[in-house]
Amino acid sequence: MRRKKVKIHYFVVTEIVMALGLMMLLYVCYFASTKTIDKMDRAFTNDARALQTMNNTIERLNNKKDYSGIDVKKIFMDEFGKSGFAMNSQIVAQVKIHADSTALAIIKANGKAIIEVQIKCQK
Amino acid sequence: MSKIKRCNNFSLIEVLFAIGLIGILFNMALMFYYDGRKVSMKYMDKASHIRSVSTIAKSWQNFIHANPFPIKVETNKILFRNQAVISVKNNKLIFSTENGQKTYAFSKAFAASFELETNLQEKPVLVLYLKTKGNKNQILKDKFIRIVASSQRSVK
Repeated sequence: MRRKKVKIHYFVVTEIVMALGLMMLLYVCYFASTKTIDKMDRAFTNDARALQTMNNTIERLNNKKDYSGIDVKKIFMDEFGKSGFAMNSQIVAQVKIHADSTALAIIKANGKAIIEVQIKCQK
Repeated sequence: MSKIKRCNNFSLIEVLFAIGLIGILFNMALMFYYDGRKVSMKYMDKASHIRSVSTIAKSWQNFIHANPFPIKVETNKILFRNQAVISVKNNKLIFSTENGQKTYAFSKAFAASFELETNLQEKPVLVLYLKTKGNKNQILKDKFIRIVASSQRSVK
């Protein structure tokens, strides 16, 4: 009896390399998108935190009968310190005391302000 | 005698290689699925938390302005002079007065606690901390949102 010849399909190296390349591409895309989401999340968290810091500062200022620029600066810096911004976030607080008002700002690493508020001082 | 039809003759190494490759691909697919699901759930939770924080902050401040003078401040309960109470139960913040109670739910990934803070040359303030929980449900003390409410607001 004559034995039937079995036909075996082999993959060429190019096909395997292409498949591996596609898998790598998928992997890279996935991690790039995760990183972007992570970056966005950090930015949104910082925005919410900055807003809450300013809200807390104003709440504490309302607790006082009258306040000077120095008081505003002290409370704002205290709130900024307690607000829980990550140490490596490079976010800084900025205070400018003028004759009748105080400007408060929370600045991002790129120099742009997340939030800016001008407070009229009462003494 | 039955005839056994033999088709592709693969060697043992080829079969093992195919099984290994299928295993790797299957694991990668599972990893993509579970990791993607975990990441999206995490961010959905965070987004809902940030949204609920603004609602909670407003209610927390309004409640304390309406019911000043706390007489007993614990990490999970505040009792006010007029018998109003704020308490935390699991992931719920409960504001109770004589007229009834309001409940605000926040994400299960966070834990709430209270603190009475006294700063120099200032009246005491009540602070609500919404702290993030870690993977093993432990409270991460360095990741929190702080909401201040003045307990004895000056009348201007």
